[in-house]
Amino acid sequence: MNELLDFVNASLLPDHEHRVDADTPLFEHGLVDSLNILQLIAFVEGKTQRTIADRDVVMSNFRTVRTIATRFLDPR
Amino acid sequence: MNAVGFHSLSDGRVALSGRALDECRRLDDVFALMARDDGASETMFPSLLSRATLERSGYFESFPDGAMGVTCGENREAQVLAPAVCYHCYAAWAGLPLDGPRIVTCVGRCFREEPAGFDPPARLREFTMREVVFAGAPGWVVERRRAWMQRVEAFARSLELDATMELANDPFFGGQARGRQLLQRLKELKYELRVRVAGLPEPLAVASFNLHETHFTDRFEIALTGGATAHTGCVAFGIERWALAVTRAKS
Repeated sequence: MNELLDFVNASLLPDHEHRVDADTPLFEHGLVDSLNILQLIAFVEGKTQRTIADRDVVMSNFRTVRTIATRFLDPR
Repeated sequence: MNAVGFHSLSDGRVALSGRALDECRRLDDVFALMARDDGASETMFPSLLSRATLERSGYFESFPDGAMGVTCGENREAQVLAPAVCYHCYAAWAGLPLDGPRIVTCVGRCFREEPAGFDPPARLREFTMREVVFAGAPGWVVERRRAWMQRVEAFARSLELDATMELANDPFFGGQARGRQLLQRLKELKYELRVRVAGLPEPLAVASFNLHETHFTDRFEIALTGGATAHTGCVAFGIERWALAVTRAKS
């Protein structure tokens, strides 16, 4: 999860005033928009070596860094 | 088809008579009444829409070829044929502080370029759209859309239509198209009520329920009194599609 968090803060939102934490809602206030959502998905796909189907791009899977990590990176 | 009053003309146009025309009028009356019961005021807007308004709305960023031009007036290309009715509302509210929630309903003819090979009357270049447009506090707009989704779905069931409410996205074009589609679905900004219609391979979207967040309020400088963020949303009914669904269901 920390790797994803670093990617979000360093690459996805480099100009954002505050650091995003694991539980910051990513889609409120336009943090993640139509430009960088594709970068976010590409990063997760690169880490997992698996394509994310459009039907899995839903808020319950992408609300925060923690939910993304739980769903795609560290599924238990 | 002609037995119920849909007469397909050339180039994605349709003429209506008989039962089809009766159903269009009756259904639009029902939706207008629903809107008035929800507190909406009614406005009749022209089919001609200022190109500047459509540009300000960001329409051409998503649909560069979607609007039909028209040549008229002193500045020969200042107007287009409206692709949806609600753009008039945002222009009317531009720069005004909202001292409370607004609900407006409007009906009008809408015009959209469509790719070749589409099948009238399920898809038309000119059609009738009834809209209910909301502007207000973000939570209020979300709640209005939720209530309208329930109301319209129940109405479709009362007509014994085989209707399903489904998450949807607009057919964006351009470089950010995929990102916009994914974001729209992820944030559940658009739902469509789709109805199975005899003779059509796919369910027909007869109504859409849309949250715009700050898309229009940013562009048209619409805010709540005191400067707080306002959102907009709208419900849109494709009147000919409703009539087609109703007449085919009962045929």
